[in-house]
Order: sequence, then C-alpha cells, then structure tokens
Amino acid sequence: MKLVCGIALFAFACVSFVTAEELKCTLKPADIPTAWLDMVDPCIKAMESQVKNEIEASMTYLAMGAHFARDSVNRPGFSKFFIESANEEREHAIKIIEYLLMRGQLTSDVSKLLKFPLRPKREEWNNGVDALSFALNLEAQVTGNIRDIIQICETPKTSTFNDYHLVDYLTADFLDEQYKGQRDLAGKISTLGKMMATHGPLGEFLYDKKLLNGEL
Amino acid sequence: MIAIAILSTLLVAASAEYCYNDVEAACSSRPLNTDAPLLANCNAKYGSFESLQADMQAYANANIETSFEYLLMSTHFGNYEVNREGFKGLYRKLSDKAWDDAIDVIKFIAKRGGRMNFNQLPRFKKNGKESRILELTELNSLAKALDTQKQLADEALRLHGQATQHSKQDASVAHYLEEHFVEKQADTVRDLAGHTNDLKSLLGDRDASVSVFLFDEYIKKTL
Ligand SMILES: [Fe+2]
Repeated sequence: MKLVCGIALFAFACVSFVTAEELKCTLKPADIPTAWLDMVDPCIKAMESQVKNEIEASMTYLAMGAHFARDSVNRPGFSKFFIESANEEREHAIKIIEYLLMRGQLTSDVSKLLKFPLRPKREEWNNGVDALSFALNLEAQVTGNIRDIIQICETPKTSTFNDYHLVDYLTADFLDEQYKGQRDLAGKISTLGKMMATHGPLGEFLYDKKLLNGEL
Repeated sequence: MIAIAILSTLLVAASAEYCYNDVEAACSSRPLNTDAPLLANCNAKYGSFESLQADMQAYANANIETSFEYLLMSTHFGNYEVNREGFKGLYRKLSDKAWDDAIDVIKFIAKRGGRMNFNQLPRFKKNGKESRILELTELNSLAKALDTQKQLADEALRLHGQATQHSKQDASVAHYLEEHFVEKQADTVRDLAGHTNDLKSLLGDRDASVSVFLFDEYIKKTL
C-alpha cells in the first residue's frame, strides 16, 4: 500500500477507511511565500496562552452561573448574568484565535492551545457580593495579562519588531472592554454591598430580580 | 418528660424528609438542638434524580470537553495552509452546540435540586494522548466528529435507559433527554455520516484537491 495517508500519526485512522480502493486523505500542500509572517515568537506565545486565560475565566463564570442556579441558593438573576459572562469569555478566546489565524499563526499544534480537562477556579461563593468581587479580581488579572501581552508584542526581548497592529487591536478592543467591564462590576458591588450591609438577604433578593429583568 | 422528648425525636426522624416538618421544628418555641442546616428538606429533590445526578454532571462535562475539542478542530481548518472555510464553520457550529448543551444540562441539574460538579469526569472520554490529535485532514476530521457525536448520542441513550429503569424511574429526566438530545442527535449523526461517505467517494480521484475544494464549499453552504 502506498503511503497515501501522509504522516504516520494519521495513518492508522486512514487505514480503517481504506477498503477495496485507496483514498487520498492528504493533499499536497501549496507553495506559499512566508515573508508576510512577521509575528515574533514571544508575542505569539503570549497570545496563545491568553486563549487559556480566557477559557479559564469562561469556566469560572460558568461555575458561578451553576452555583446561583441551585435550589438552595436561588438567585436566577445572578445565574443569568454569570452565564452571559461565561459566553463572553468564550467569545474572547475565539477572538484571540481568529486574530492569530489572520496573522498566519496556529498552523501546527492547535491541540496544545488548551489544557484538558478545563476547570473553573472555584465552584462555590458565599453570596452575590462575594461572587461579583471574585469576578472583579478575575477581570483585573485578565487586564494585567493583556497589558503584559501588549508590552511583550511592542518591545519583544528577541527582536526590534514592534507589532503595531496587534497592540492597537488589544488596546482598542480588549482593554476597552476590560476597563468598562471592571467599572460595571465595581458599580454593582457598590450598590449591592450597600444594600446587603443593612438588609442582607432582602438586598440580595431585590438585586437579583433587577438583574434577572435587565433593570441594572 | 424524657419519654415525650424521645417520642418527639422519633417522630421528627420518621418524617425527616418533609420540608413542612422542618418548618414546624424551626418555627416552634423550643430551641433547635441540631447542627443541620435550617430547613434542609426544603429542596427540589424528588424522584430518582439523586442516583442519576453524577451521570448528568459527567454528561455536562463531556459536552464541555467536546465543545473545546471542536473549537480546536475548527481553528485548525482556519489556518492559511489548510484554509477550509466550510470545515471551519462546521466544527465551530458543533462547538457552539455542545457548549450550549452543557449549559442546558447544568441548568437542568439545578432545576432538579442538584448541583454541578466540574470534577465529575466524562464517562466515555479517553484520557490517552491519541484522542487529543486535533490537527486532522478533512476526512479524518469527519470521522472523528462522527465518532464523537455517536458517543454523545449513545451516552444520552444510556442515561435515558437509566432514567426509565424500573427501580429508579424518573420520567422527567427521560423526557428532558428525549426532547433536548435524542431527537437532534439522530440528525447530527446522520448528517456527519453522509458527509463522510460523500467525501470518501470524492477522495477516490487521482487528484482529490479540486474535489475537496468543492466539497468544502458545499459544506459551507449547508451551515
Ligand atoms: Fe475576557
């Protein structure tokens, strides 16, 4: 049998499909100039690891959504809010991936982009303020991660290549959303914190219904 | 006096699963001499959900894991060398679906008085390295997707079987699985099997590059 399935790794999976005739599973790659590939290594690595960070944030928000959905906790507004956040964080990871693809990256080893199994940072919270505060700290961490990437990609240690486009994208798109999101969380913690200080469960109950109806 | 105390303790124990009794005890003038949480029985648990919970948690986690595997498969088809918009979109769509399904299972668990446990490992996922090769050719990727969807569908059927077993019958779980999973899974499995066989017959060509290009365009239109 000819080696129609390309690299040995894929050979096994292909063979199981080869019955009477042989299949051409792997196509001959085209000749593509590489001069346009200008991203430098430390910057690529930093961006790739940001995919993990965004997914970890997503999983943590999902755990928050699950926690507040429980019968004994019963805060559907908080649950809805955090599940929306989980979806947004997943979208952020996809945006980073799309950016890397646009710049000609991720041509190999996509399996290493995430580390399985994917777990949240925590699974239980004491109350709404506790979860919102955890979220705010998580966002502050992510903001720090993005600032680090910007620094690495602006002045990489290994070369003089300043990645203007990437730095602009992260600044205009990601940092903008981070700062606005952080302000929103801080405001929520403030309002809810004040109410809960004097009217603990009642404050949280009322706030939850506001969240549920999108009145905040 | 002691006899009355013992009798009332026995009565509470005998009817321990009732929320109403918890409320009566909690609202009575006698102080509660227990460390148990207040109104512990005022929960949403009934039927056989408790015995099905771990499997449902594992199923949610299986969907999460599957979702991210699809996302990486989609990523691979999006790189400039492979450049297959159709396959990229197909796996992105499957990723989105598995993610939404995971969230839905988590909500269902909460509805039935349970709690999500992200450490409950999926039942059918292999932990070996070979299962995590996601840089696949077009046909290999379809094969992997088909196998994955069948595993998810089989697990839904197995869970359904558990939920309809005489001893731990729970029609609510069974109905949820039917409505939310079983029906749609049949469509997805059939579509992927069809795609795989279409592509198989196209790859018989001496030069399959044009066939794969056309097939990718077709996949893109079906999304
Ligand atoms: Fe984010």
